[in-house]
Amino acid sequence: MTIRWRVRLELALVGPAALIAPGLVLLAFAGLGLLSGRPARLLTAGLETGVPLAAGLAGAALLADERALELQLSLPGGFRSAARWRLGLLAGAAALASLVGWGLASAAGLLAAWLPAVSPVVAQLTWLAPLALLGLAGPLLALVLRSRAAAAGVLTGGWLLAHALHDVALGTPALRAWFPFLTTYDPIAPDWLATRLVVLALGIGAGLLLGSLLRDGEWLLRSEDAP
Amino acid sequence: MTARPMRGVVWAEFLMQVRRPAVWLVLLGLGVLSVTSLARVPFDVRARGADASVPEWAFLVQFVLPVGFGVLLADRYPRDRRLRVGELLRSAPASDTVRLCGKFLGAAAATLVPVALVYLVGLAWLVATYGDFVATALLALPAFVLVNLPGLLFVGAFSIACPIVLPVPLYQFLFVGYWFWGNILSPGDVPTLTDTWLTPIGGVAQVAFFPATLHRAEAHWSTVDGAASIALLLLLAGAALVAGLLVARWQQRED
Repeated sequence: MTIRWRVRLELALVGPAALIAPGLVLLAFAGLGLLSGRPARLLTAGLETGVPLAAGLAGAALLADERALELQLSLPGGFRSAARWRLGLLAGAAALASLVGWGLASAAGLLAAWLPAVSPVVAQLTWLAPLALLGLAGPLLALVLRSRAAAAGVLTGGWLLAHALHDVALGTPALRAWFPFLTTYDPIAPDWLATRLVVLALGIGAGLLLGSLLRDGEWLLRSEDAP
Repeated sequence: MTARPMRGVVWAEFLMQVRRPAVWLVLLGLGVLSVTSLARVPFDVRARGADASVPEWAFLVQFVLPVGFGVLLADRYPRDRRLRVGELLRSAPASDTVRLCGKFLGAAAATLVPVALVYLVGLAWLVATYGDFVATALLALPAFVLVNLPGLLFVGAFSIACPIVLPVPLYQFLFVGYWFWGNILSPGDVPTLTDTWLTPIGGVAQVAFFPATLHRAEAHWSTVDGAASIALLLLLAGAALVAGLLVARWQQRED
């Protein structure tokens, strides 16, 4: 099986809706930003909070929706290989949409009023760190909780609480250290880079845990979404 | 003719939903966070008493739990299609109207159980902390029925109907985005539905029917506003179910 053929197959299985969703999310936030007269902050919110949530929910659904799971598990490598491909393509689509969105908004001067005080390359952690955390926490929760609905409930509830109680989170050192949406509320915080690195590390940790859990296909067969 | 199949569908959907660990895990988890935040709300019960604290607690329950409520109902209709039992169900005595309404009533009632439990735990905390048992007990049901129930039925109807046409993760994303934008974001930040009749978070009914409330004391909603908000939410919930039914019938003809 060639790489190109595999990519085409997995892209078809991930589906166009999941692949174009990040771009549509950014367009929606940009529209809301233009309507409110605060495009920089709303675009940042789209990049930092909207796209990662969409990726996390789609990732949780991707793991749960495998209809040929028993067949996959009977193959060498189990479901791990397919899951890696699909989550990788999903993350790639989200990252591409974020990069293009960032580039276009920067070129149009729409982001200048809400940028972290770091170089443009490091500033990409604005979307990369929460994308790693939420994008991998979604499928990890689906696997651990054995339910896509439970994963979506925890992810969306946490997302909403992080926004609604951001004052409390930012004022509590233990929560602030890994608050995923710092740029949306305080882009020039002195601890911006340190907290972004913590969020990125948590995302990587979630990815490693996910990889190890995917070795055991039985987790998936005991899910309430199992075929 | 339809009463018996309806009872059967409602009961079956209720049992399926209430036995899902996910329902309890998510809603009790969010409930713990809500009860924790209850302890931080600056109640001045000596001055205002249960008249203020009970509706305020009802509003706190409505702040985040409906998100879990909607997300957990969203996969109920697509589940039948995923399990390929649609044709089998169509051969049963229940019509498609009965099946959809029964699914809504049964699954929503089951998902309400943990929400009501969280509400009761918060009330118990209020009584244990501030006393005033009689007043709290008398206000508990009206506050839940007026502040929480219309919004939860609204959320439940849309969460059953919308996934008939939308993929479940897309609906879940749109729903949580809508909840934050249309209920929590301040109107001064972006154009939003917050602080209008069309807010299932229950703020209008809370201020309208419980004037002693602390929440958004600057808002001056009358009881007419409160009744109109509830009527509008229930009307839209019914419209969502009717639209969902029509789309489901069209999909069946296309299959």
